[in-house]
Amino acid sequence: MADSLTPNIGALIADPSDVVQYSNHIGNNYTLFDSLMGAVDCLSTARPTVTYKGQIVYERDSKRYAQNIASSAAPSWVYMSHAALSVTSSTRPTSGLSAGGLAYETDTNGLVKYTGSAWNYAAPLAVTSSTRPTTAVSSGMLIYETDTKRLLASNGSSPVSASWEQKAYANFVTTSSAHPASPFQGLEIYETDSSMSAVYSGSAYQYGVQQVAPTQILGTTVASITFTGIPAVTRLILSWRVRQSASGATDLLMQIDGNTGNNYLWAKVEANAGTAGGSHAGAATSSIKIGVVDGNTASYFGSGYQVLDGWANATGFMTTTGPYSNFSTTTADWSGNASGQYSGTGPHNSIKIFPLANSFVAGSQFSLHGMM
Amino acid sequence: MPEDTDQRPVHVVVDCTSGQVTHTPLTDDEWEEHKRAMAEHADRVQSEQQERQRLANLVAGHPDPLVQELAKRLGLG
Repeated sequence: MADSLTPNIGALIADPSDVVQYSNHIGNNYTLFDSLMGAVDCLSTARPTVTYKGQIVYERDSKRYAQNIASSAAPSWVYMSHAALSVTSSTRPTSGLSAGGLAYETDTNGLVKYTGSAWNYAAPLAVTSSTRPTTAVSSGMLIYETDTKRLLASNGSSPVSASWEQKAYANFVTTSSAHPASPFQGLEIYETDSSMSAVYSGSAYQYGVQQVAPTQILGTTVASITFTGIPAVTRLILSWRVRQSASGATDLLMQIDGNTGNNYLWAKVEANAGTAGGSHAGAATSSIKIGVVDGNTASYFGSGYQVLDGWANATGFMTTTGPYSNFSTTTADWSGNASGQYSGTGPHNSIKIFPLANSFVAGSQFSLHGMM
Repeated sequence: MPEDTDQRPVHVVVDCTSGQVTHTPLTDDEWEEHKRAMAEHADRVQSEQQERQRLANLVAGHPDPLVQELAKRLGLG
């Protein structure tokens, strides 16, 4: 029987009829056994040439374990370790991979996983709107844009650049002069200077009528109510439902910015118990008449609203107009439209409403809405 | 019910920025002016009621149909 070699590591099996030669038959084999103990330490570029199927090596440069899954004659090394490789987005490994392999990209700070056929990002990435990833993107991948503060997800469509969809539902906080770049249809924003929200239609921001102060329902007798800190909106709507503390109709009055001087004009048309008439200030006066308030009959209230224009206009006086009504008894009532002007330019800050005489009773209510 | 002249009403101020609402009683001067206006209003209402009653008495039973129609439209009869 001739000498032979073991199938995996090629250890010498001597012909039993041979005379024992220490070096060839014993020493060399022991040396070979010693070199293959445990996971063989090597470099990723210099794996053992004497190997066998199932052999495990440790690559001291990549710090990973790999296994020969093929044969001693034609080895195929596959990484076994689940520790992430350190790579860049342009140097992801293309060989020696198995599904589940992980890699950390030092340039993107991203974690990518190997699916068995491709690398995909495994966790959301922080990017800017101009540095969105173009590779390793799969359907459902999330990115956070640090400049626009948006959270987007890829829908998996091609090209990748067109696959990103806004997914976060929080409003963007901004100012009226600093809207987010590259808005998309449906984007919602909140302007801290105007206190208004808007939705991007796809071509422009659309503002609705929005409440600028909590509706006030009086719980006690009130001589006046003032709204201050009113944001610089284009137009305001002041609405009320009032009743005063004494019998007999009296004027409902409005002043702007706490100005009590003769800086107001007013004019109104009015029907009293069905008899129409009109009146006006005739000269600058100290307030605008915006309606009538009575307290003659229990549970009888009056209501109305004023639309104030030019609220934030710095070049023209503020104007206002609106309807009102008040029922004093079953036969006594008031209904009309009042208009006025405040001879001061915007932006303005406050509105005060009060009866000419007496007070508003509990249950009277006031609301303030704004429009851009 | 007439306002209680022994209990001062308050001014309400609503801060649209913070939503905070403050109630501040009228100052002494404001309270005196407020009571003056209340009294003036009451006098005016009483005078108007008295004048209205006088006119109603004047037109009551007037033979002229035009006067009767006018009184009806003005709510005097």
